[in-house]
Amino acid sequence: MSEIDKLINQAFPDELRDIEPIDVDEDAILSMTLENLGLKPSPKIELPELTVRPPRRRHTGGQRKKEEEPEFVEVPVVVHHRWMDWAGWAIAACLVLVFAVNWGPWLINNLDFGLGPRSTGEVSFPDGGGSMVPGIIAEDGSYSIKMKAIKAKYGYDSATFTLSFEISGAEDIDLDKVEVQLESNEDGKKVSKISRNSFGQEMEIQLNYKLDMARDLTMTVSYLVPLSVDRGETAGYYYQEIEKLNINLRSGLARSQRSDREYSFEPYS
Amino acid sequence: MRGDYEILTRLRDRDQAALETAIRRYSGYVAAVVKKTLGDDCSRQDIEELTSDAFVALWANAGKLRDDSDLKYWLAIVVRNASLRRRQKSVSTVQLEENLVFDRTPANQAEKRERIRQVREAVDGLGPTDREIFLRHYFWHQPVQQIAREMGKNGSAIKSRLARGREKLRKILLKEDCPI
Repeated sequence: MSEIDKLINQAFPDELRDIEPIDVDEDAILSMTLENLGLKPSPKIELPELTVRPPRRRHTGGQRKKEEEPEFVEVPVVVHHRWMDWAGWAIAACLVLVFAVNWGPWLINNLDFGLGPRSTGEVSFPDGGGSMVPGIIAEDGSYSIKMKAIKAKYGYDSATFTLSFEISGAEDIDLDKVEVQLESNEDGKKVSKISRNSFGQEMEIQLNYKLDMARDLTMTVSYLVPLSVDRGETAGYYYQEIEKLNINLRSGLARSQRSDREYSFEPYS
Repeated sequence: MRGDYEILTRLRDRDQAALETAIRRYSGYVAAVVKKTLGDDCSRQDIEELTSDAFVALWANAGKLRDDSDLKYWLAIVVRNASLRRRQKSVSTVQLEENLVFDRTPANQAEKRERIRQVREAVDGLGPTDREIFLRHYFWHQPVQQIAREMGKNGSAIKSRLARGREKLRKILLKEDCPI
């Protein structure tokens, strides 16, 4: 199309808009279009044919009147609202919600669905790994910890502990999955960590402890392991305790609860 | 047009009922565009086929159209182009001597709009009969014989009027385009 053709096309849009429609067979065009598109015609609602009532005749016998008078046909009007399709489900959902709110807590607390309140306590394992919670199997794996050094540096009102240890296990150890907690034996307060470094299978962690708190501490080292349900599906993770040390600041001793080993460090005086 | 947006939205959702609505609303108009383009030479079947093709194109392109599209105008352009393609082999129009009118294509939208305005003014400046003949031939691409038949005139008269129209258009546009 030449430039002048394009200009003429665009210069006279009303030539197209002002055309008067002509009579066409819309149904033929519709069916042809649907056929070209591979669509099926929409089903039409068939209405019952209306019975035309003939004009009433006067002065005829009652019998004849009865015979000729057509019966009225009541045309049912079916109105279908879309919300009706969902109403049943909506009511059922409301009932389930009400039931869950009223009885859910009771059921969870009184029936063992495995969903009840969980204690923060540890999961017990037989030696060498294996499990414990019915239906849930811990990944088999044993881990061991070897304390390399415990250093204590005392300040005016706080002490900084630097713990160095090495972890080994049947599988490769990811030190990012190691959790170390130090807490007071008297009030259970946890101790804030200052830093955490890993090199190879060794980890060094620094913790800061306020000296106005208790002098007896417990250090727990745990490793994050997956919980698997039967057929190998992972249900979640939990921290498996691999070492627990009782630390006494006055004596400068740390004793392992698992192996009775003792580690010494500078005592607080 | 009011309601076009709703039709368009439903067409994008592949709502078959929307296609039916569009056909019921615009098929008479679309068919009229076919009739105007192809003249009396086209059969009823041709009109229905080309009209149907326009709605097939609408269904296929609904997702690409702007929300504020004028469906009637869009369908008209689609069906007019399709009609012209169908008739392309048998019809020849006397080409406008483009180089005499414009020596180069417009460089930007502003220049293009200005040229459209010039063309409109030039054609509107023709007498009513010459204007109709000009637009039938150059807008609707109707052959001379068809114009002559439908306007009740001699074919030679139509040709000479078209020649006069082209010359007048050329003078007006040259005067505006290249003022000396």
